[in-house]
Amino acid sequence: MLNVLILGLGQCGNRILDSINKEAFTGKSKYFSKQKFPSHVETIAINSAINDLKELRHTMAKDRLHVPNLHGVGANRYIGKEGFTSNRDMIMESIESRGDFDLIFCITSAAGGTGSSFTPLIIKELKERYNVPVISLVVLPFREEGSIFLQNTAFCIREIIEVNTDGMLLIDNQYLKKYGGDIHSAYDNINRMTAERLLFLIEALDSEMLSVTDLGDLKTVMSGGLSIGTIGFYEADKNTSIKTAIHNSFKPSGLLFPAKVYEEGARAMVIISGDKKYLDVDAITKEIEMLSAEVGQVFKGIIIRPGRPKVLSLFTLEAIPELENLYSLAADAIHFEKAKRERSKDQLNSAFSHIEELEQSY
Amino acid sequence: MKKQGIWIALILILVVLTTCASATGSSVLTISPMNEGQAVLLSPDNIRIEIVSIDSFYVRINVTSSSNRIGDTRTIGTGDTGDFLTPIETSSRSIDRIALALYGDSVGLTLYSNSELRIVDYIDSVEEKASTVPVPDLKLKKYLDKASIQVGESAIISVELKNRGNGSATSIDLDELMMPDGITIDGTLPDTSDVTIAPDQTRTFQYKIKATKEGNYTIPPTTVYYKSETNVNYEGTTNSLPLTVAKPPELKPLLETDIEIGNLRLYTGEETTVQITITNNGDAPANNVKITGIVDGTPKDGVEYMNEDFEGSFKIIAPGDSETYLFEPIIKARDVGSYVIKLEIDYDGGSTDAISQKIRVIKKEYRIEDFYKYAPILIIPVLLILLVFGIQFVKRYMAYRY
Repeated sequence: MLNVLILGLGQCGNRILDSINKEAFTGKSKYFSKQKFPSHVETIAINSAINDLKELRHTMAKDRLHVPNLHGVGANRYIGKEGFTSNRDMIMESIESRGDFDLIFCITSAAGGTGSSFTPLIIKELKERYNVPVISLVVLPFREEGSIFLQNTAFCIREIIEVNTDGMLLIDNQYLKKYGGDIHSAYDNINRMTAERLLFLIEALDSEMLSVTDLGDLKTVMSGGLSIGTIGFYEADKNTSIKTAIHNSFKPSGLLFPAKVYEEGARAMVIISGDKKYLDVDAITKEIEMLSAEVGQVFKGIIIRPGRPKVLSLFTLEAIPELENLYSLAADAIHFEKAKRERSKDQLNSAFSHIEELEQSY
Repeated sequence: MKKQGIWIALILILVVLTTCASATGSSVLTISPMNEGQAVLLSPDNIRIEIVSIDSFYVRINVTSSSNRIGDTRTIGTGDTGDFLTPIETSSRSIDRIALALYGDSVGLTLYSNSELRIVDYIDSVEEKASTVPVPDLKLKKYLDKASIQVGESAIISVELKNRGNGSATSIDLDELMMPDGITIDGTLPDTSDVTIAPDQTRTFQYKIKATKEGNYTIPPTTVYYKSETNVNYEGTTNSLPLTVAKPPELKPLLETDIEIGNLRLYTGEETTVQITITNNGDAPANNVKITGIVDGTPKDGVEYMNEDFEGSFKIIAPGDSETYLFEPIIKARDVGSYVIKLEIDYDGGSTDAISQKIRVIKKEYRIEDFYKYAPILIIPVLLILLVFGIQFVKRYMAYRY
């Protein structure tokens, strides 16, 4: 059995973690049922803002870690880093007390304060203490959320790559807002979709399969291209063939981040579950072969489960034009902030110059 | 021929005279001549006739008795016949004529009474003897405790002796005449030989008689013999008694049957028991009692017997006894309907029948009231489950509370 640790960092990470915990109850009440994690899964929500931790509903109190002496970091990554550094031992002790792990996921928003600042540092610490894959799930902000969030995103992603994460899976709020009506529903949907996919992935890595994909395969996939990728998913209805289901899982509509898989894909893992009667191995093989021809290495996993087919596809990309766009926006944002600060400073200096050589007189 | 005729005539005259004498008084008593101041004692009734005065023209007498202590003074002319306009009455006698026979200073009396009188004693001097001669005088009464009885039953005869005299009565002897055919003395007559009845004392003696035949009877009077303290004999007779003896009712058994159904309201598929109790409320035993029964109702065959034979028997049921027969289970309800158990009870010399209350068979419908009895049993596990859920809820709530 796989031992998996999932860390939710900052408000966004906490909420996605809470969704994962909720999905694990498979629709039953948390008061009278147990979570059905596919493997041995430990979850920890870490935050500097205690109110964010309080609002979690499906994460046990023992799994919520408040970094003391901070009441949020106000989207300031410097404050966040300082806060982590001051409480590093406490945070790492809490993690280490949960035991040993085979796989670690760190979920965060790249745009916030706590999550974006803690995550690179935690990944660094985890890689020093555990010799296991540490994969980050990073949520990109709505582009119109503000300049600070954009610059946080840019620096967070860079820092995560710099600490040699074993892979980064992107989830783009901007891309996924098409699913929700209001902002609250949109976030809920994104959180639920992310939770669903992650749990499916964990189950697939720890199941007896007709065709096996294991942790090693995941590491190989995640190390492809830029080590940055995303997850796609599709659940077939009664009119959908397995071939179509596979294909739909890596169409843009099934992905969490806009990517052209056939053109930008570096490596892939496709995991199919469903009743035997739906799983035409020949059709599956044919479709995978077609993907392989475009992407390169595709790992295939088939799990026999009752019900209609579900397909999870995980990709790493060799080119991410959207990131280019994001960084461009971030740079503009930084410049804008800088210019604004300069202007403000000049304005203040100008005001002060009026009393330059004057003394107070009472 | 003539001589015979004369004798016949004389006899006839004598008979007539005797009859006439009987007609005016059934008894004639001649008393020896007595002087003035002398008296004679007669029985019964303790009669004393005192010669008060003798005259050449009349004799005055005073007659006392136990019922008349003051006395009845009569003056009888020496030439009179001695008939009284009103007789001299004592308790049991009636003297309606006293004839005189004068002999110088003494007079002889001839008493004519309705019933026999006897001379007890002569008193030479009334003053001397009146206070010293104790004479018992028993008033007799006989009665029954019941005026009618049945054949085989007994009745109690009581003979009451009340001493109205001034002397004790001793050596009392009750003498019964033969009872009529159909009546016998049940036991023995009471022993009265040592009994003494003092003046003004009353004693009652009882004995039983038994009727052996039906009819209307007259129990004859009892003759009572007794003596005075001076050993003078007296006697008296009681009244007679009517007694009706009826034929005893014929003894018969009277069987009453009670059918107790275990459950009068059955659901289809349910069973019930039947208990039959037969009580003999008659006065004769019921022998060879046999019970047979059927279950009758609509629809036919709506119930089935669990036993082969719906019958039972008892050798004898004595008067006042009960016998119970329990059939279990006898009937099982099959179809919805209404049924009764009909019994026939036969015994030597008679029979009777009985019918039970209606047994209703209904379709099983569960009502909430049917489960009330399980409430105490169900409530414990329900409470336990709620408790477990409650504890679980609280534990989980605390686990998620931050």
